[in-house]
Amino acid sequence: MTTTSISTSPAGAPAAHKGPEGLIRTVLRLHRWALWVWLAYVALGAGLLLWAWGPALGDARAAVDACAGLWKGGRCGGSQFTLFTRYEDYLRYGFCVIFMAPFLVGAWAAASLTARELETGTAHLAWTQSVTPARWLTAKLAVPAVLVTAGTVPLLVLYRLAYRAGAGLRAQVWPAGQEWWSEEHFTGLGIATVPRVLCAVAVGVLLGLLIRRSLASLGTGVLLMTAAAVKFTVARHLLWPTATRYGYTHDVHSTYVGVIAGEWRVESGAVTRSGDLVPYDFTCMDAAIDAGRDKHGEAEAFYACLKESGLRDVWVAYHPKSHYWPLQFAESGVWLAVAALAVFLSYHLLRRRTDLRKGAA
Amino acid sequence: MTETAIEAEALGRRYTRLLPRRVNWALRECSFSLPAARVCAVVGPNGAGKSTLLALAAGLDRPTEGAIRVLGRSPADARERVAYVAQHKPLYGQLTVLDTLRLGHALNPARWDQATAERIVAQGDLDVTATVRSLSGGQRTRVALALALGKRPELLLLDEPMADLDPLARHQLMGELMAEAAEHGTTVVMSSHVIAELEGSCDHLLLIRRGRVRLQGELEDVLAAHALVTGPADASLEGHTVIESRTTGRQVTALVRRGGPLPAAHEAAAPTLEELVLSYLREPVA
Repeated sequence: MTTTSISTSPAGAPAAHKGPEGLIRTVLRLHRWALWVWLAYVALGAGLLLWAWGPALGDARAAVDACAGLWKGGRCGGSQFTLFTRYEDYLRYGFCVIFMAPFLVGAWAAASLTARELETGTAHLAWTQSVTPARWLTAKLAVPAVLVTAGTVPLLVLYRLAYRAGAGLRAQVWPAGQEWWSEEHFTGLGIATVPRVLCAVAVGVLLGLLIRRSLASLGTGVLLMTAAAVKFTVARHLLWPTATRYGYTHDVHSTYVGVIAGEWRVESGAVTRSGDLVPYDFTCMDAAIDAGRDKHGEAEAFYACLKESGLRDVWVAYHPKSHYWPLQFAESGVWLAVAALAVFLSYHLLRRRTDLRKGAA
Repeated sequence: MTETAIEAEALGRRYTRLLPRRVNWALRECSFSLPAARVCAVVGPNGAGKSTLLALAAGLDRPTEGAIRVLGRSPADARERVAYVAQHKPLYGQLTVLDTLRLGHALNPARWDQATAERIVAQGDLDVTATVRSLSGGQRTRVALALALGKRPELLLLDEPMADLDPLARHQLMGELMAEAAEHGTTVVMSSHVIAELEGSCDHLLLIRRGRVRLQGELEDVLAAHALVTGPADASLEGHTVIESRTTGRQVTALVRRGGPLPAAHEAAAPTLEELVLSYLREPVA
């Protein structure tokens, strides 16, 4: 077999263009498979959300409209209800795609971006071309960062649109309102996913440089991402100072005692006569609710019961709805700070191992 | 030729393992100077520090102590003018041969010589649309060399370039490599423990053992400075440095570094490169 089929650029390369195009093209070519998989993944998420927004929501709306006259207050049941939950299911699948993106991106970045290159020695191949290791690392960070952002942002926008489109209907079906602090609302409607995927890329690159083995790096990356996600799910409320309210409150729409629907209760308790805050299980709520049957004397009954227990008042620490964005920004800030640290450490590590400087002509 | 390709001064590289803690000097107090526009052989047993030396010259690693200068600059500053082929010929397995050459062009836009790279590949009679993963060891080596030579380097660093090739492929590829180097005046520095592969192609020798330079110089000078002598066991070899000697009965055979005229009682012969290198490698460590 002879090689007459080679027909690339002319010999004696044209005048030196030292832009990063070559490096970007190389990174894209080397990770072509990952790029296709990512595109398919984003398309899958977009498809699910578009389906929720379009056909599923249409069916749900028709069904709820049909039963609006039958049920007092527009409450639906049976098959109409099923149609509404189907819309929510698609929305939830779309949310899962968004939620899982940082895990998948992190696993890939940890295994493939730098770890595999160091494991197979191809990093040395790349570093002995005309580009410096520093520029190689920059390309390895920047190209995926741009692509994961470009994939995640449209998904978030779509989720928001699909969610908003069903807001009126949701209020009809679930008058109690939604828990804005749930993972679904926080992640799906917020912006924190973008810093998360960026952090996944940065930490993945760092792990690859540190561990230098694909599989070990992948495992560590997934473990860290899981730990971080769990940590944020259970401790997100600590990211912003809570508001505290004293006094008896009873909102029938709220799932928690002592708070108004839409408030994220973090902690609650009672105030002793000496003014100390102590834990309290709100047993006096029973007395208040019994008293409330005739719509009067709820609070009086509650405080009377409280006094018998030797307590003066009750308190609730909570996040009002207005804390949604501060919490989003705080979480995003943490992810971005970790990402920045990982980027810094990656360059530092590379600098210690190799000679980064650019060759002067 | 006074120009130097690589100059090292008290070069040392230490590797430290954390658990269990172990400190190992891969290179220590290496001072040498390799001339430009020559073919230099870096020889030594496995683990002598040859690969470390080449990685330091390629700017892939940093010395723990001392300094190394490549083409009169730091290795990082010389990056564009130096090509390096690592021992295991790392290449991107998922790329085709054609894509690999494109990568060479993309990453060396100012220097890339597509014609040279294509010529090296074409001589190997391999399918350019095949992925690198599917190539044989010899074909891989050829692609790695094409990538290195396509960069049109002034200095070509080769770490055990022919180690995994059969003798025929080795002979052919070495011939092509030497022809390319001669045509462009490229300095070639190649490490090897297969001495046969170097004989006839090298001009300069650098012998490393246990991280230290044992012998260096122009190959002709080095060979001329040594003699393989045979003589009576009781005759003195004073004034000459005995590198290795073997006594059989009353006869002694020794490889010596000449310190003057050899004693008349001895029969002297010029050693081959292989004999010379082996003697140095077998020399007990002081």
